[in-house]
Amino acid sequence: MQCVGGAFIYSGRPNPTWHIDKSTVGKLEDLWNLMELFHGVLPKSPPLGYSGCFMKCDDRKWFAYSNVVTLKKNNKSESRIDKDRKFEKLLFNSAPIGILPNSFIIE
Amino acid sequence: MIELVEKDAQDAIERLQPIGKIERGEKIPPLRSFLGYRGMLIEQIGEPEKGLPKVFRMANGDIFGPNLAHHAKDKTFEEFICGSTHVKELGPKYPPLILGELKEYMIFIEKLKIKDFIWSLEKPCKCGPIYEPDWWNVPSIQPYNNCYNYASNYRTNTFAQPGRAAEDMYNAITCAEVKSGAVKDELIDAPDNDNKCPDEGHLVALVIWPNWDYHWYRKGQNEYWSHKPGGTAVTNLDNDGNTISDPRTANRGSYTEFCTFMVVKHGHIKLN
Repeated sequence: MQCVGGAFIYSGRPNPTWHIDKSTVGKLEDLWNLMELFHGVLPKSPPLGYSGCFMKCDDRKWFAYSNVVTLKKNNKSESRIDKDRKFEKLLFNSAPIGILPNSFIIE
Repeated sequence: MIELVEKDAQDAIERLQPIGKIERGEKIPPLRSFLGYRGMLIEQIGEPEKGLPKVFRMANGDIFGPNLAHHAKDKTFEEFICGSTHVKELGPKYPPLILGELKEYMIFIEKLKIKDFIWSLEKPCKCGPIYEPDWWNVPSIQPYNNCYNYASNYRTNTFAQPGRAAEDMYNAITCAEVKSGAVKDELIDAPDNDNKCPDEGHLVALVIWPNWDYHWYRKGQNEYWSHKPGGTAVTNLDNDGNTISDPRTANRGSYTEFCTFMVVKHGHIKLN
């Protein structure tokens, strides 16, 4: 199974994508499995700049932004609480050095 | 068309002399979109007489043209011309036909109330694109077109890059490089524009997230700016949620460097 990560961040240039190694995929899946369900309104990002990152593994796609992770599979979706944005940080930081702004840190 | 010469021309000029400015709110200007008679276009051949422009229009006894919105000395000039031998020479049907039309117009315009009239003021951004997010924000268009496509109002479905159509894309994310790419796509640099809509084409603005990305805004017909951040939806709001009257002062997040204004002349550019 090949998993691809990506960040929604740029406007003019295409958004960066990268391959995620098996070990990181495992850690992200573990984090997902430990999360509690989220029932609120999904957080909204400002128009310009970073607006979340994703991991796509075959027919499953996770999207993480601002303490919420949503998994979509077969036209169904489920959102869970990403406490301390652990999932998002791990996914974002799995990007190879140089494809995302050095100074850009998810707080 | 009829031509008046010598004494007839002098007589017409005398009758058409402006005798009093039409005050604001007093009358509505001649209707441009009305079926039938809409007034008389008068052109002075050669040096125009003082007080009257070379070309002007008369309707319902009033005259309109450059710096001209006045009552004419002879308010019945239109009827006079319609009954003249010049019009009669056009054919026997013409004088009654035109007089009938003239009456219809006068009745209609008298019925119109000032408050009913939508004043068609010249828009400063008349060539600006209209704000139509619904056209862009659809699955077949939105993900494949970026800020450059939207700002240029040019859909390529290729996530267009400045200079790529000219096979000379930018080499670095700097104002100079990205602007140079856009110039190769035939956008016109207008650094001194100062947020004013051009007479031809529309205004766009280039900003930079130094070394990482660039972004474009476009100025619309409503004089406000809108943009399409990457593959996301078109919006007219900045990062503070405010409408954008000037991209130089808008909250642009990490796109901190304002580069320049540029002009897109419709039909001139090529993007890819």
